[in-house]
Amino acid sequence: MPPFTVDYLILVFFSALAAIQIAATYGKLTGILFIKHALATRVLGFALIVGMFAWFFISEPRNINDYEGGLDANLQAILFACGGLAAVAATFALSSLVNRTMRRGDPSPDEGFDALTKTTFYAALRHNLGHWRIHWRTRMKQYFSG
Amino acid sequence: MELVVSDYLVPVCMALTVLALWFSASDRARRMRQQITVFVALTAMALSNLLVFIVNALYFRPRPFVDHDLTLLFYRPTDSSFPANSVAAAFGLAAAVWGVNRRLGASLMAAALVWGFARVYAGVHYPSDVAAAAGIGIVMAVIAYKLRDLLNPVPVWVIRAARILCLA
Repeated sequence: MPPFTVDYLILVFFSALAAIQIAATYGKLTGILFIKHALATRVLGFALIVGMFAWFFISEPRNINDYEGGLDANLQAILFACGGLAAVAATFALSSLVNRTMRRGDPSPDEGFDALTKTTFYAALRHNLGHWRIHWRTRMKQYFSG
Repeated sequence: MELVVSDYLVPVCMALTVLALWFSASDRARRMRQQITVFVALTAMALSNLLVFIVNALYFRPRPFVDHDLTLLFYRPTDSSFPANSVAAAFGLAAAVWGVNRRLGASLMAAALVWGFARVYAGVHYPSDVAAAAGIGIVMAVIAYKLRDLLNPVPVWVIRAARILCLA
């Protein structure tokens, strides 16, 4: 993989990780936060984003044409999707580990992100899938009826 | 200026904002609206790109640095100058976000405008390229919202399916 591509992926991964943490403080999704203090998360997240951009632009010249090693718009979009999804996966995995003792009552199925205000992603997913495995017929009816 | 005009600063910041929209609402109804807006924004961006691609295939305008004696602050792109592709996508995304969050949408519009101005200042676009791109982006966002209404309730089903996996 060309070094420019790797650098771009690193930029996207860490800045997306920070953006998700900042957004999660506004969404009150404490189950996926690495640090419980909202203000500290926002300050550190913002610092990480600024730091990643500083590293990206200072480390190498970045205004280069795509046939000279830069990234065209389509490749950028694909790489952003990959880096962003990796950041989402890392957020869910790491936060489930960091917050493994967090449990404020069982989430109800189909709560989605609301469950992450009470418990971790892993616990909520496990609970939901277990519920759906048993009650899938009735849940499917409810799913399409609203 | 070289930082602002770059292919990476404004697009990555805008994409991060859209990613954050997915997670940032604290109540269920607002979250649903914001998450549907993420789909609308991506559709608006894709439609803007598609229209620019079609216009580029029909009409080629040389870059300003080709026809004028300029101090270029950017690399030498070889594709058509009209309309500004990246700016069209940025305006499409910003206009879509404006539909759900006026303040955030206006900030993204301002970022797209600054980016467009920087591209003109750097010598890679004419002002009319940027103006046309802004128009394309905004119109495509409106069309993406109409498409959302046409496709209803499919986006709602997708988000409800994602809720089962705690992804929305």
